[in-house]
Amino acid sequence: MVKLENVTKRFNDAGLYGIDAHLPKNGFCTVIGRSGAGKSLLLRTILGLIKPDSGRVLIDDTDIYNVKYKKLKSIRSKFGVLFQNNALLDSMNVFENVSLPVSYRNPDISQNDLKDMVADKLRVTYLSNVSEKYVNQLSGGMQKRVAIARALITDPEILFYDEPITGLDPLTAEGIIDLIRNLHSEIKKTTIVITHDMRGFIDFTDYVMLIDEGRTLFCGTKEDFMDFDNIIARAYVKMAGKI
Amino acid sequence: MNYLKSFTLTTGEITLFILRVLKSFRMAFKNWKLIVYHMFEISQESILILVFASLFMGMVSAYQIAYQMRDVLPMLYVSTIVTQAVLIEIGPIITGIGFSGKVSSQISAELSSMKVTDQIDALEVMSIDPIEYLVMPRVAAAVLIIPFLTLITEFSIVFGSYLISIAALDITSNMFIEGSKKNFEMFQVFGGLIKSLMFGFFTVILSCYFGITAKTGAKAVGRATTLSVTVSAIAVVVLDYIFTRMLFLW
Repeated sequence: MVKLENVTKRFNDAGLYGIDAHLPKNGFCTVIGRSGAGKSLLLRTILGLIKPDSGRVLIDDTDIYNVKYKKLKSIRSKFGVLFQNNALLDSMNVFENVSLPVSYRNPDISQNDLKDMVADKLRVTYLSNVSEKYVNQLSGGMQKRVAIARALITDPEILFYDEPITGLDPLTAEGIIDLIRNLHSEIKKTTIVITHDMRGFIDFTDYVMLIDEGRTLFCGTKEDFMDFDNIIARAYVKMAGKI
Repeated sequence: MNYLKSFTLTTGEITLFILRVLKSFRMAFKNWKLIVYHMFEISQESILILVFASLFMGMVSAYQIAYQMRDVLPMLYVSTIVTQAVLIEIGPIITGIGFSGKVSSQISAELSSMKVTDQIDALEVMSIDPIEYLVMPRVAAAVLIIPFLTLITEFSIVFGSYLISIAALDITSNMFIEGSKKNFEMFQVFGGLIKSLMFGFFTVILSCYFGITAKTGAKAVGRATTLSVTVSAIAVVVLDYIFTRMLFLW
């Protein structure tokens, strides 16, 4: 469960101002907002990368900014994250990238076990024969899939996807949306998608969080969001073809 | 006043960074493969440049000393002065400056690129401490490899001056070798190596610091690289003064 209590972070030109949110366990939540609304800043705050000026970020009732680094590391081991630009290590091949979280935490793991784990996650993300390839030899869509495979390798409890379809062609984007949907229905873990385009996600999202200019405009169920009387919310619902 | 504040803050941050790196050395055994990998990388990047520059540095040194000493001291002392200067001063400082130019720039460019493309944040989120995974292996590798690079540099400089002494200064091979042995003390070799060790440690720490704390955007990569090369080159000279005072002057 992810809970934000009055989270405020001020920067010169942007920030988060008194964000409150409750993203329930095992639900599918879509965080939407315009470019520059503070979505990625919000994600970084939840991940423990940017400390808020005030307020609390609770992961399973633990305030992640009020614990020692070791404890934060153990909390983060529950996370699987797809970054906006994938954040794959370009000095490594696909196998090394996907296996890194496991091989680093458990250096004694056998190569065979590691190969099986990686093969399994690559299969889940519909990738084959790419283990030995380097990141720059793959297309944008394939890189996304590799990054998703890496996020899945530790069997995380919470999956974050930051702008998973931004910069992809419609067909590839469709494939990534299907993959995210299938993964959620298979593994039933808390899934948080951050996007400015909720068209592909509206049908299967459980919760919606709408932020604008660093403030929460809405946080609740999809059904309530559909009835939410706000000009920005209506624009998103319209864009998703639901009006 | 702002410069002073910024200097104090950065110095404090670098000190804390160094403490974190030193603390992470307890994980050196776990990361031994990475350390060995970076040792190869560093040697590969710097060895040719160091040898090439050192050969010419040796030639210039022999010429300059012979020129300054003409009509004052016998030519036998050319190799004495070259060898002493190389072991105590020139060898370590050429290696240090070479390190700050080649290795520092490479490391800070690499780490700052990783920073701007979220790779370092990704490591953090994967519960992999970037200090432990990216910085410590590079620093350990530099500290382990730099004494060898310094010895190679020192040998190359002396060899360069030997070649020019034989070829152009009418110094025989025997004279050169005899001159080199004069006033030689093993402590001079170790003193120079201790200095080079400090140069390696600080240049790599600084380049990692500037790389890992880079801001976002392509400009940040350039800024981090420039800062890293400039600051580590200055650090080499300052450290050289401090350690020369500590080790050789009494």
